[in-house]
Amino acid sequence: MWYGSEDLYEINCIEVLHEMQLYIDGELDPERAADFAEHLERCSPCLEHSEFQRKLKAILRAKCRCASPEHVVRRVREAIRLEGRLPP
Amino acid sequence: MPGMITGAERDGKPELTARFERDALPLLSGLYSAAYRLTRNAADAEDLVQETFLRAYRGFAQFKEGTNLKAWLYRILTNTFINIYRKKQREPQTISEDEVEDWYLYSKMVGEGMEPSAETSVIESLPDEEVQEALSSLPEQFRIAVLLADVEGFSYKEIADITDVPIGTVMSRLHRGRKALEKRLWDVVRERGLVRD
Repeated sequence: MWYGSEDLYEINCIEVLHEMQLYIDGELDPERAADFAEHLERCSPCLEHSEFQRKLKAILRAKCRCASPEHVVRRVREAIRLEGRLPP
Repeated sequence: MPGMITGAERDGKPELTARFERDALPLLSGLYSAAYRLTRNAADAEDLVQETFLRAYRGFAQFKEGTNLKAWLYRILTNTFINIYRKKQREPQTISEDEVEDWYLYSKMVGEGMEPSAETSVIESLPDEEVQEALSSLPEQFRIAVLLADVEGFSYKEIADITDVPIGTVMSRLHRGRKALEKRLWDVVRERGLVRD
Protein backbone atom coordinates (compact mmCIF):
# COMPACT_ATOMS: atom_id res chain seq x y z
CA MET A 1 0.00 0.00 0.00
CA TRP A 2 1.30 3.45 -0.83
CA TYR A 3 -0.06 6.31 1.19
CA GLY A 4 1.49 9.00 -0.93
CA SER A 5 3.57 10.92 1.57
CA GLU A 6 6.67 12.60 0.27
CA ASP A 7 10.19 12.02 1.52
CA LEU A 8 9.90 14.73 4.15
CA TYR A 9 11.04 12.67 7.07
CA GLU A 10 13.93 10.39 7.91
CA ILE A 11 11.74 7.48 6.90
CA ASN A 12 9.07 7.42 4.20
CA CYS A 13 5.81 5.47 3.91
CA ILE A 14 7.32 2.66 1.85
CA GLU A 15 10.09 2.16 4.39
CA VAL A 16 7.49 2.22 7.14
CA LEU A 17 5.66 -0.66 5.48
CA HIS A 18 8.91 -2.56 5.02
CA GLU A 19 9.93 -2.15 8.65
CA MET A 20 6.49 -2.38 10.24
CA GLN A 21 7.03 -5.95 11.41
CA LEU A 22 10.35 -5.01 13.04
CA TYR A 23 8.81 -1.96 14.70
CA ILE A 24 5.81 -3.83 16.08
CA ASP A 25 8.09 -6.59 17.37
CA GLY A 26 10.40 -4.07 19.06
CA GLU A 27 13.32 -5.17 16.90
CA LEU A 28 14.31 -1.83 15.33
CA ASP A 29 17.38 -0.20 16.81
CA PRO A 30 16.42 2.73 19.07
CA GLU A 31 17.40 5.46 16.61
CA ARG A 32 15.42 3.92 13.76
CA ALA A 33 12.47 3.29 16.08
CA ALA A 34 12.50 6.99 17.00
CA ASP A 35 12.43 7.96 13.30
CA PHE A 36 9.61 5.51 12.79
CA ALA A 37 7.62 6.94 15.70
CA GLU A 38 8.19 10.45 14.41
CA HIS A 39 6.82 9.44 11.01
CA LEU A 40 3.73 7.98 12.68
CA GLU A 41 3.11 11.21 14.57
CA ARG A 42 2.81 13.08 11.29
CA CYS A 43 1.28 10.46 9.00
CA SER A 44 -2.15 9.29 10.06
CA PRO A 45 -2.57 6.47 7.47
CA CYS A 46 0.69 4.87 8.66
CA LEU A 47 -0.32 5.46 12.27
CA GLU A 48 -3.68 3.74 11.74
CA HIS A 49 -2.03 0.80 10.06
CA SER A 50 0.63 0.35 12.73
CA GLU A 51 -1.98 0.67 15.47
CA PHE A 52 -3.98 -2.08 13.79
CA GLN A 53 -0.96 -4.41 13.68
CA ARG A 54 -0.02 -3.56 17.28
CA LYS A 55 -3.55 -4.29 18.52
CA LEU A 56 -3.77 -7.47 16.46
CA LYS A 57 -0.62 -8.75 18.14
CA ALA A 58 -2.04 -7.86 21.56
CA ILE A 59 -5.36 -9.58 20.78
CA LEU A 60 -3.54 -12.72 19.70
CA ARG A 61 -1.59 -12.76 22.94
CA ALA A 62 -4.69 -12.18 25.06
CA LYS A 63 -6.79 -14.81 23.29
CA CYS A 64 -4.20 -17.57 22.93
CA ARG A 65 -2.97 -17.84 26.50
CA CYS A 66 -4.66 -20.17 28.93
CA ALA A 67 -3.97 -20.91 32.57
CA SER A 68 -2.64 -24.34 33.42
CA PRO A 69 -5.12 -26.40 35.43
CA GLU A 70 -4.11 -26.90 39.07
CA HIS A 71 -3.79 -30.67 38.64
CA VAL A 72 -1.11 -30.21 35.95
CA VAL A 73 1.06 -28.20 38.34
CA ARG A 74 0.61 -30.93 40.99
CA ARG A 75 1.33 -33.71 38.52
CA VAL A 76 4.56 -32.11 37.29
CA ARG A 77 5.73 -31.31 40.83
CA GLU A 78 5.15 -34.90 41.91
CA ALA A 79 6.96 -36.26 38.85
CA ILE A 80 9.98 -34.09 39.62
CA ARG A 81 10.06 -35.08 43.30
CA LEU A 82 9.85 -38.74 42.34
CA GLU A 83 12.64 -38.27 39.82
CA GLY A 84 14.71 -36.45 42.49
CA ARG A 85 14.49 -39.41 44.87
CA LEU A 86 15.77 -41.87 42.30
CA PRO A 87 19.37 -42.98 42.73
CA PRO A 88 21.66 -41.29 40.19
CA MET B 1 29.34 -43.55 58.59
CA PRO B 2 26.14 -42.38 60.30
CA GLY B 3 25.67 -38.65 60.57
CA MET B 4 28.27 -37.88 57.97
CA ILE B 5 27.18 -35.75 55.06
CA THR B 6 28.50 -37.03 51.76
CA GLY B 7 29.49 -34.70 48.95
CA ALA B 8 26.66 -35.99 46.79
CA GLU B 9 24.08 -35.10 49.44
CA ARG B 10 25.58 -31.70 50.09
CA ASP B 11 25.83 -30.65 46.45
CA GLY B 12 23.29 -32.98 45.03
CA LYS B 13 19.65 -33.43 44.31
CA PRO B 14 17.83 -31.75 47.22
CA GLU B 15 19.44 -28.41 46.46
CA LEU B 16 19.03 -28.88 42.73
CA THR B 17 15.40 -29.84 43.18
CA ALA B 18 14.72 -26.82 45.39
CA ARG B 19 16.36 -24.49 42.88
CA PHE B 20 14.45 -26.11 40.02
CA GLU B 21 11.14 -25.78 41.85
CA ARG B 22 11.89 -22.18 42.74
CA ASP B 23 13.06 -21.03 39.28
CA ALA B 24 11.48 -23.31 36.69
CA LEU B 25 8.08 -24.30 38.08
CA PRO B 26 6.67 -20.74 38.08
CA LEU B 27 7.07 -20.81 34.28
CA LEU B 28 4.82 -23.85 33.98
CA SER B 29 1.66 -21.92 33.20
CA GLY B 30 3.12 -20.23 30.10
CA LEU B 31 4.60 -23.52 28.92
CA TYR B 32 1.29 -25.32 29.33
CA SER B 33 -0.43 -22.65 27.30
CA ALA B 34 2.17 -23.00 24.53
CA ALA B 35 1.93 -26.80 24.72
CA TYR B 36 -1.81 -26.56 24.25
CA ARG B 37 -1.38 -24.42 21.12
CA LEU B 38 1.16 -26.90 19.78
CA THR B 39 -0.62 -30.18 20.49
CA ARG B 40 -4.17 -28.78 20.15
CA ASN B 41 -5.58 -30.81 23.00
CA ALA B 42 -5.44 -30.86 26.79
CA ALA B 43 -4.31 -34.47 27.28
CA ASP B 44 -1.31 -34.17 24.96
CA ALA B 45 -0.50 -30.72 26.36
CA GLU B 46 -0.31 -32.18 29.88
CA ASP B 47 1.94 -35.01 28.75
CA LEU B 48 4.14 -32.63 26.76
CA VAL B 49 4.55 -30.26 29.70
CA GLN B 50 5.39 -33.10 32.10
CA GLU B 51 7.93 -34.58 29.67
CA THR B 52 9.43 -31.10 29.12
CA PHE B 53 9.87 -30.52 32.85
CA LEU B 54 11.31 -33.97 33.45
CA ARG B 55 13.86 -33.49 30.67
CA ALA B 56 14.64 -30.01 31.98
CA TYR B 57 15.10 -31.36 35.53
CA ARG B 58 17.43 -34.09 34.33
CA GLY B 59 19.52 -31.53 32.46
CA PHE B 60 19.24 -28.80 35.06
CA ALA B 61 22.72 -29.42 36.52
CA GLN B 62 24.10 -28.39 33.13
CA PHE B 63 21.97 -25.26 32.94
CA LYS B 64 24.08 -22.16 33.59
CA GLU B 65 22.42 -20.10 36.30
CA GLY B 66 21.78 -16.51 35.25
CA THR B 67 21.25 -17.36 31.59
CA ASN B 68 17.83 -17.38 29.93
CA LEU B 69 15.89 -20.09 31.76
CA LYS B 70 12.59 -19.30 30.04
CA ALA B 71 14.13 -19.63 26.55
CA TRP B 72 15.92 -22.81 27.65
CA LEU B 73 12.63 -24.38 28.78
CA TYR B 74 10.83 -23.39 25.56
CA ARG B 75 13.68 -24.90 23.58
CA ILE B 76 13.15 -28.21 25.39
CA LEU B 77 9.39 -27.87 24.88
CA THR B 78 9.61 -27.32 21.12
CA ASN B 79 12.24 -30.05 20.65
CA THR B 80 10.17 -32.51 22.67
CA PHE B 81 7.07 -31.59 20.72
CA ILE B 82 8.82 -32.03 17.37
CA ASN B 83 10.41 -35.34 18.39
CA ILE B 84 7.39 -36.97 19.99
CA TYR B 85 4.20 -35.42 18.74
CA ARG B 86 4.98 -34.55 15.18
CA LYS B 87 5.06 -38.23 14.35
CA LYS B 88 1.47 -38.50 15.53
CA GLN B 89 0.17 -35.56 13.55
CA ARG B 90 -0.01 -35.63 9.83
CA GLU B 91 -0.18 -32.11 8.55
CA PRO B 92 1.17 -30.05 5.66
CA GLN B 93 4.51 -28.45 6.49
CA THR B 94 4.30 -25.51 4.11
CA ILE B 95 1.79 -22.82 3.33
CA SER B 96 0.86 -21.63 -0.09
CA GLU B 97 0.83 -17.88 0.02
CA ASP B 98 1.22 -16.81 -3.57
CA GLU B 99 -2.15 -15.16 -3.63
CA VAL B 100 -1.93 -13.68 -0.14
CA GLU B 101 -0.77 -10.07 -0.14
CA ASP B 102 1.19 -8.40 2.64
CA TRP B 103 -0.82 -6.94 5.51
CA TYR B 104 -3.73 -9.01 4.30
CA LEU B 105 -6.22 -8.39 7.07
CA TYR B 106 -5.68 -4.65 7.25
CA SER B 107 -5.95 -4.29 3.46
CA LYS B 108 -9.21 -6.24 3.46
CA MET B 109 -10.69 -4.15 6.24
CA VAL B 110 -9.64 -0.89 4.67
CA GLY B 111 -11.14 -2.24 1.46
CA GLU B 112 -14.40 -2.75 3.33
CA GLY B 113 -14.34 0.91 4.25
CA MET B 114 -14.27 0.14 7.96
CA GLU B 115 -13.49 2.77 10.56
CA PRO B 116 -10.04 2.35 12.07
CA SER B 117 -11.55 1.81 15.51
CA ALA B 118 -13.90 -0.89 14.19
CA GLU B 119 -11.16 -2.88 12.48
CA THR B 120 -9.64 -4.46 15.55
CA SER B 121 -12.87 -4.68 17.50
CA VAL B 122 -14.17 -7.15 14.90
CA ILE B 123 -11.23 -9.45 15.68
CA GLU B 124 -11.58 -8.78 19.38
CA SER B 125 -15.23 -9.82 19.23
CA LEU B 126 -14.33 -13.29 17.94
CA PRO B 127 -14.54 -16.08 20.52
CA ASP B 128 -11.07 -16.99 21.87
CA GLU B 129 -11.44 -20.50 20.43
CA GLU B 130 -11.78 -19.17 16.88
CA VAL B 131 -8.54 -17.21 17.16
CA GLN B 132 -6.79 -20.17 18.81
CA GLU B 133 -8.02 -22.44 16.05
CA ALA B 134 -6.70 -20.02 13.41
CA LEU B 135 -3.26 -20.12 15.05
CA SER B 136 -3.40 -23.90 15.42
CA SER B 137 -4.24 -24.28 11.74
CA LEU B 138 -0.80 -22.96 10.72
CA PRO B 139 1.79 -25.54 9.70
CA GLU B 140 4.11 -26.39 12.56
CA GLN B 141 7.17 -24.22 11.92
CA PHE B 142 5.04 -21.13 11.26
CA ARG B 143 2.80 -21.86 14.23
CA ILE B 144 5.84 -22.14 16.51
CA ALA B 145 7.34 -18.86 15.23
CA VAL B 146 4.11 -16.88 15.63
CA LEU B 147 3.39 -18.47 19.00
CA LEU B 148 6.84 -17.62 20.36
CA ALA B 149 6.81 -14.04 19.02
CA ASP B 150 3.24 -12.91 19.45
CA VAL B 151 1.86 -15.00 22.30
CA GLU B 152 5.00 -15.62 24.37
CA GLY B 153 6.75 -12.35 23.51
CA PHE B 154 10.20 -13.71 22.67
CA SER B 155 12.70 -11.65 20.64
CA TYR B 156 13.89 -12.80 17.20
CA LYS B 157 17.25 -13.75 18.73
CA GLU B 158 15.58 -15.85 21.41
CA ILE B 159 13.34 -17.57 18.85
CA ALA B 160 16.40 -18.29 16.71
CA ASP B 161 18.07 -19.91 19.73
CA ILE B 162 14.96 -21.84 20.73
CA THR B 163 14.27 -23.23 17.27
CA ASP B 164 17.89 -23.54 16.10
CA VAL B 165 17.55 -21.52 12.90
CA PRO B 166 19.14 -18.22 11.76
CA ILE B 167 17.35 -14.95 12.61
CA GLY B 168 16.56 -14.44 8.91
CA THR B 169 14.63 -17.69 8.90
CA VAL B 170 12.73 -16.62 12.02
CA MET B 171 11.72 -13.37 10.31
CA SER B 172 10.63 -15.14 7.15
CA ARG B 173 8.58 -17.69 9.11
CA LEU B 174 6.95 -14.90 11.09
CA HIS B 175 6.17 -12.95 7.95
CA ARG B 176 4.63 -15.92 6.16
CA GLY B 177 2.96 -17.32 9.27
CA ARG B 178 1.29 -14.03 10.10
CA LYS B 179 0.05 -13.61 6.54
CA ALA B 180 -1.52 -17.06 6.63
CA LEU B 181 -2.99 -16.34 10.06
CA GLU B 182 -4.48 -13.05 8.85
CA LYS B 183 -5.98 -14.83 5.86
CA ARG B 184 -7.54 -17.41 8.17
CA LEU B 185 -8.90 -14.73 10.51
CA TRP B 186 -10.41 -12.88 7.58
CA ASP B 187 -12.14 -16.07 6.46
CA VAL B 188 -13.54 -16.54 9.97
CA VAL B 189 -14.75 -12.94 10.14
CA ARG B 190 -16.47 -13.38 6.78
CA GLU B 191 -17.98 -16.76 7.63
CA ARG B 192 -19.48 -15.26 10.76
CA GLY B 193 -20.99 -12.44 8.74
CA LEU B 194 -19.10 -9.76 10.66
CA VAL B 195 -18.16 -8.01 7.43
CA ARG B 196 -19.90 -7.74 4.11
CA ASP B 197 -18.72 -10.28 1.57
